[in-house]
Amino acid sequence: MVIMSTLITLHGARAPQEENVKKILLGIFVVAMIIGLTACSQDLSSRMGTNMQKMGNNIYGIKANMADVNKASGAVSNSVDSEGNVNISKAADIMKMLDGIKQSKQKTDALRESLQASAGTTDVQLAASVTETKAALAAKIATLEDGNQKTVANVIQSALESVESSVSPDPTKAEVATVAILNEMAKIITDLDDDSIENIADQGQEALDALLIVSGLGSMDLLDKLTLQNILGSVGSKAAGDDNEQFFQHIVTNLVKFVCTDGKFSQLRYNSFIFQAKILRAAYEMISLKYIRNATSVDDYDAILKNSFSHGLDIEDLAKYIISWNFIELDNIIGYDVIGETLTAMISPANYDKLTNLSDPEKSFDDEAMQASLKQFSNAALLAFGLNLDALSNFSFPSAKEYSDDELLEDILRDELNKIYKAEAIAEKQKEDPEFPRNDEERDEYLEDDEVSLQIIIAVSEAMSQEKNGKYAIPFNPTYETDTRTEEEIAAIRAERETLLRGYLKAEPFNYTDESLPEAMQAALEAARENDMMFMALAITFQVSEILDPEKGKDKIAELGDAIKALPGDFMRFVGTAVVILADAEWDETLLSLAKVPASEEHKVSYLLKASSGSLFGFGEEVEE
Amino acid sequence: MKKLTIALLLILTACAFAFAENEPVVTYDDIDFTFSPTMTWYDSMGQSGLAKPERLDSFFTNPASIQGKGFRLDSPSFSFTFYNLEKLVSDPEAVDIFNKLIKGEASDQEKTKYMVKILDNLGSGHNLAAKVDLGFSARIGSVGFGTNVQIKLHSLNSGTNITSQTLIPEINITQTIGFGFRFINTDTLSLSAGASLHGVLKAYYKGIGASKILSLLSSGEDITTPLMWDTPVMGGWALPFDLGVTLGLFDDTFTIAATANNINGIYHMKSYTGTGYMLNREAPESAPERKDSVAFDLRTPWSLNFGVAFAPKVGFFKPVVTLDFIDMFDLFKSFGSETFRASDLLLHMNFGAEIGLTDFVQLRTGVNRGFLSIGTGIWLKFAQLDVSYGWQEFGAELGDKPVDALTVRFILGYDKK
Repeated sequence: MVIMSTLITLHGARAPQEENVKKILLGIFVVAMIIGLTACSQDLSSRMGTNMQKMGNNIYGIKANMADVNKASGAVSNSVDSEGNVNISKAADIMKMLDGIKQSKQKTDALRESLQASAGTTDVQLAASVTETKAALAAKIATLEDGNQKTVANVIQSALESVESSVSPDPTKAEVATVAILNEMAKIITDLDDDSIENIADQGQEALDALLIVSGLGSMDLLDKLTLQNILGSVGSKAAGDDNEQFFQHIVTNLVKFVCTDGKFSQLRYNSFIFQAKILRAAYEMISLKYIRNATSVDDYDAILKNSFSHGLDIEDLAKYIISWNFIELDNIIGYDVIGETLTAMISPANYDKLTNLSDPEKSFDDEAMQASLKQFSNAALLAFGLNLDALSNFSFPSAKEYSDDELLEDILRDELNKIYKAEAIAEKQKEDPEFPRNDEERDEYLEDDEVSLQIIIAVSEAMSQEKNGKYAIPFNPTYETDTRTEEEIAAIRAERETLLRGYLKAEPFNYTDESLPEAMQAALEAARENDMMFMALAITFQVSEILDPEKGKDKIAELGDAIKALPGDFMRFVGTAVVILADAEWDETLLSLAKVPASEEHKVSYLLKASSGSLFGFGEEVEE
Repeated sequence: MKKLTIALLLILTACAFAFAENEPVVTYDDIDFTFSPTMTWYDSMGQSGLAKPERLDSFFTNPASIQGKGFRLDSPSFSFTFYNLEKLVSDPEAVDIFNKLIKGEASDQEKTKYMVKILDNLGSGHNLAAKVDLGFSARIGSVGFGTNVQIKLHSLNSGTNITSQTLIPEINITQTIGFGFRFINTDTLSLSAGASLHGVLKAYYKGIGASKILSLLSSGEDITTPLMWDTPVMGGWALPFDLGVTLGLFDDTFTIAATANNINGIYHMKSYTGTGYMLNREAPESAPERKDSVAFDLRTPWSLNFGVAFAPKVGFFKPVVTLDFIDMFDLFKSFGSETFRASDLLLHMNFGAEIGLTDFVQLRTGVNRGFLSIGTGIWLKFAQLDVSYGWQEFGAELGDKPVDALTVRFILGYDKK
């Protein structure tokens, strides 16, 4: 029939067809032109998009059937009795109802509105609802032998203990739902055995999905905003692009926005942020528990990669995981009182807008005191985070030891010492000429003077040499060994480290002549070793962008891939495995596209992802020789 | 001894079957695999027009229209449907990349980014990325023949991000034979009935991760090999048929129709380790080992529909107004139940209108379950170009997941209106 049709068409209709084919082609051309013109004009395409969107509104005005939304919201409402007491297990029913809702915009909007309402209970009553779960989990922790399981359990327990301080006095339904999700996670770990671990990845995934939806829908939206796009939003700006220190500050200020209310630092927002970070981290680790426990070979790691995809984890998950982890550890080490004090001093309604607009080059930040404060905070974080990266590099990538020891830490020191001695040189000059420098040009000219610059170079070299021969020669073993210290010893080190870090944080900006500095570095390093952490992806970004150029980054990536596959019995962090292998080889562009990163800053973010992925491995766990 | 040997052989054979590794059956409850070719006129009329079906689309809508004198031919018809266009048009970055693509200035990264945007726009749950149709059809008197080839690219996402997105290609090859008879044919009254039988060969793949596809595309690797050998495929056939009856009044100015579509839509499927195995091709060494196929049935729903059309013959305007009540059996079933709402009737009612601007240009609009659609047709002597744009509901319920689609269809043939 096909042949017959074609023959008839070609034979009987050739002459008229030629004319009509022209018309058809003209028609196609006109349609193509319309589409093309629409595409070429942003304005036209925008208007067309608006009209197309309007066509998507149902003309009958019939609303979506909200029965499942009401049911989900009702699950939370019904968990609270007239006295305000919470039956948290009932609230957890919402987890089973979210799947259909998330696919519907109308339904998610309706649920959003519903979950923002008060749940009719109090923070104290909500905290009381998890008392039994807390006790059961504590008993379970005492019996756990698997280090990974214990870590997850401890994080959940810590979150359970901080419920009261992390939810508002009049909790919303979203807050109740979040606590319910946490409660379910605790019960899963409490009941964990060899059989149930088979289901733990799915359960963790369910908890994660529910958490992200609930935190995204309700007022507890901190984690929802923790996306690469939000955090690295300043990466592409001119102000941030040329100055890595400023770039780091931008990231810090972006995160500062998450912990503020009405332009002021809010303890409740901060607590809520850390609280949600703990639940998020625990959920990711629950997903990975099943797959990492027996990973010993490259094949196992490939299986982990495959499984991570089957759970739909992506680069955003990695970002959320790393950031959650780092803030939890930062909170552990420095503590709320110092962080709170610093952030309270740093942020006020008067400068909040400036802080949150740093990424806008048009809005200069001219408050010197604030700049100093911000630098102080940034450098304190950098100190801790940076040294962690250094330690991490040694643990994770034996082949990179030389680079880490001899270049990375030295570069940090050299850079900072340069700043110190330049500042000293300017201070000396100011003794002769109190008005010096009158402008930037005069300052630069002075610093570029042969004699002055030579003095600075010599001073820096000497300082570096002293550091190398003395306190800087940090005696750590590049291979991580089982921690044999007693709890008392660890507690003592921790107390000392906290004191040092707090001291440093309160110190004058750039006061690197402070005697405590090297010890603070040492403390940070110890912190890294002890706490199984990779403090801060943001700091890694900073370091990478400052110290590593893209070419070096490439080498590092290759090492990273090899190192991961070579580490036997390591704690393979689930999401990181996927990302680092993706990041290796040809995946760069896709990965960056996924991360929605401006092209101009690709190398920074690319390395962030890769280095962060690497930082998920071999840190804080036993590495068998 | 011989009996014992045979018995042992039978037992061994049975054991061999028992221990052979089977290719798991993959089914997708969220996807309706009913075959329906792309019908641009029908779509732009708000998916209505059963009582006045357009040309040879009647093979799949109302076979009562397969009747009349002479010969008609659509050979070939080609259509392409692109879904989720609104999100791309509303995204300035996507428009910018599109412009670069047209000018040939887009970098590899931008191409990848564009792909990622397309995949991202598919969202959670079921969606369609694209659909391509190729058709040949002809009618001689009261007998019609048709061949349709359709490739659909479904997406299914159980999570919320792109890496949980899976793409599911579906291929249909259909051969149709239809009959239509006009029992009564007077100036004031006509009565026609018809039936069409479709032999459908269907294959759909096990979901392929969007990440894997992106990886293959960005690395420039051959994508056909993984599809041919590394991706399990479900293949089979069905013989669904359609019935229709049309009552015409006043020289068919006013028509009323009733149709039952996709009756016997049961696909007899089997699971295959790869397409190559399904087609009995020789497997390369690198191909995964062939597993035993597992037979299963895939049921697609039938539907009972009613339509009304008003088509006065007014110059070249030739206006047509259509009103269809679709899937009424489902509605009847829900009468009296707790979930029934009176407004549900609206959701089973589609309507549309067409008017000619000149001899060869028609404008169309319609409403499908409350969603607007628009379209145009450019008629030439032996060819036609149709364009339709509209929204459809892809979610389980209204408002869950409206999806827009743009279809361009080109038909070359003798099928004069």
